[in-house]
Amino acid sequence: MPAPTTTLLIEGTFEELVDELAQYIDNLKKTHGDETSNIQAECTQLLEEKKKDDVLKKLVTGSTVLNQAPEKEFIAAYNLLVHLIRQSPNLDVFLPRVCQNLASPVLSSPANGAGLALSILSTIFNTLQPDDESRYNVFFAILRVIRGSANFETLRPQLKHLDQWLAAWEVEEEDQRKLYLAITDVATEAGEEEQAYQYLVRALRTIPADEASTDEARQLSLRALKSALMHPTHFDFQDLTALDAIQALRSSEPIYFQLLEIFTADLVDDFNDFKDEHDGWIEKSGLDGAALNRKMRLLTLASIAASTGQTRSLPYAHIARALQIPFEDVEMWVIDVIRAGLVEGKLSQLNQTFLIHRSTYRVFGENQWREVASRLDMWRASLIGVLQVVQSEKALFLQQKEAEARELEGKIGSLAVGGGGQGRGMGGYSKQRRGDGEVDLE
Amino acid sequence: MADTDSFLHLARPLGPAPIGAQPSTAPLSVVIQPQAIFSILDHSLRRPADQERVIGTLLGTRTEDGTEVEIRNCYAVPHTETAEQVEVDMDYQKQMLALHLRANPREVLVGWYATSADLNTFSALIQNFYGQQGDGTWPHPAVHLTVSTVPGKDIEARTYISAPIGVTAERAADSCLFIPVPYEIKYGEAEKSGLELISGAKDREDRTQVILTDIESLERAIQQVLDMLERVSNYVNNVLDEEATPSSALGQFLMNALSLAPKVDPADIERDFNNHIQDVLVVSYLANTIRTQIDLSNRLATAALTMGTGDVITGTTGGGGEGGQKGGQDRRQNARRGGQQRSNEQ
Repeated sequence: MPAPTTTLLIEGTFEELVDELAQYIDNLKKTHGDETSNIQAECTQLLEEKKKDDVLKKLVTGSTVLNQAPEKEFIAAYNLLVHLIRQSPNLDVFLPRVCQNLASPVLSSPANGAGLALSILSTIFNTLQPDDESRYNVFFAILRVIRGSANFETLRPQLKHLDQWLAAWEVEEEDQRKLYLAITDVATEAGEEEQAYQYLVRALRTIPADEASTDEARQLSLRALKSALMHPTHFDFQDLTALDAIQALRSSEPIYFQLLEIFTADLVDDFNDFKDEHDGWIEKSGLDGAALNRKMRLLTLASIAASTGQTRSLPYAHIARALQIPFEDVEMWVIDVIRAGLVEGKLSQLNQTFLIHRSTYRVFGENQWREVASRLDMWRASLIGVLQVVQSEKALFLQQKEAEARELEGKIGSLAVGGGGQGRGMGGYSKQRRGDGEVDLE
Repeated sequence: MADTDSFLHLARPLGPAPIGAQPSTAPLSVVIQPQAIFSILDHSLRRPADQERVIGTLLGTRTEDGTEVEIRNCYAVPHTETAEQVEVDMDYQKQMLALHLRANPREVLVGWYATSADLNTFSALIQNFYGQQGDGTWPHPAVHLTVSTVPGKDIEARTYISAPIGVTAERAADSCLFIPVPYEIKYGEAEKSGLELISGAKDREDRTQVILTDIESLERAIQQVLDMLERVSNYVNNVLDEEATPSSALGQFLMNALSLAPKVDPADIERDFNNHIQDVLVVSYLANTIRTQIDLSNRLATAALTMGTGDVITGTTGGGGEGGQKGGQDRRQNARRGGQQRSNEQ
């Protein structure tokens, strides 16, 4: 059962409502010094001629003044306007204009203007059919308002529906990319680097394979690559290498691509070789050398931790050598890498080793899948063992109960012959025996 | 419950704010406790045959800034609805509210529910009644919860708040805009397992369900985990046989989950386990000793008491009886102290 489509509940005919709104707009204009406005009369005339769309056009044109309406009346008046234009078959003609009006600042309420505009825009969004493509344009207007008011926090919980929406609207890949890029911009301005990066990668995914080497794709890929490299908590480069647009960099920007490959799978040594080979290139291309060094070390530590296999422990000396750091700093680096979430484990100062509980694999290949399979099998085997123990114990318990019940029946039979006093003695005896059993256990 | 509908909730309408605070348009979210839903469904089952929907009042808590509303409780409110008019028993609503607030001083009025997914102009009227100044939820928006109860279909819940619409006061009084807001039904672990048990009875002829023992539920849980493992290893094997496309994120996740077991030496585990067993045995031995001591001293005490009453028979007055009882008590205390001492020694 779909949700009710009409959430705007108002009584009254179209003509009455138009008349009220027109009068309201006229009054508002007059209080702001525009005496000539006479939308009400014009509307009445047009209504008589049954030109609904022209009436609405007048109202929408006049609605710019609503931005000066008092805070309290703003929402009510705008909702009425939305209700009216929903009656028109040519909804798409009016929406862009209304969205544009809402995107401009609300003069009467500097503090809550954005909130008010968002509230109306989301009403428009919600009253449109879920698969209506106009929602895409309304959403763009919402993004503009969000950007203007630095209000990304409000939008973020809603973004998880975005895929669903895009699928329902059936928008072109190019428009999807535009939307993703707009979100990236908003997120960047709000300081949400991680979110910005996520949407940038999504935008890259919308680039089809045959357009992967265009200039636009190249620009975008470089931007994504740089932000991935510079992001302090982003360590997974596999999602980037899988993209067509990034693969196209192999020919257009070979040095960048080489750097990406190093960060995907290689160790500190390779990075140092790279630096020697392209002396000064990192500084020239606007990347922060120190941050890259640090990231590379963390990744290297994750790699060597992942390669320990079944022993799952790393001597300090080995870490120091692989990371090219002094022996005393090993613990600091290990703590850093744990904090970055790449590895979990504990340091044993006594044995000068790092015991690894869990480590991230930078490249998840067939060997890793095999590892997963073998661990799953191990877990299953041990669980089956536990299950067998439980089942056999249960069967044993049932057997014992039955035996006891039989014994009791036998006793009752003998009691009926023997009499009461003997029975009590028997009870005492059995209790005694149970006590003995407990002592035996120890 | 059904899938969430496609809607966007970014801002709530600007309401009057308490003095000293900025009015805010921060979005709002609703949390529903299952017991409220249950009593709504119950109400819907007991409604008069000729009534399409029934309504009631929602009670719960609200955070200070009003951005999170929790629906905890509700009660039915009688109303009649015809094509032309709607009538709600306001006196009843007021009295019930007052009584409820007396019983649960922490809960406040948050809104109302209806047992049909439809919204109509009567909904708008009732919504405005609940959101009004004075008896309503003012200055916060009233929450409207609709629970669809069409037989044979899934139960769907939706939550709304409202915004005014219309430029004249008369127009605004009987109309409003319902703004859909996100909601979440929160189950606790205990509620969930209880419900699972109860719903197990629905497929049986006699509508009964045996309560599982601990060992049986353990067995069942192990079976469930085994089934899940089966599914996962199927996927992994398919990946290895190159029949399924590998997802490195999924693989990494599995690896992380499988590495959750801490790295401990088997010898360590055995040693710790044995130590633990010994501790448990010592505790149970001590407990038994103490129990025996108490048993013993109790018997001694009752034995003394019978001796005491024996004295009374031979003696003159009740004084002797008292003395005997006292002696018995003393002896009991001694015995108990002895028991304690012994346990201290061990």
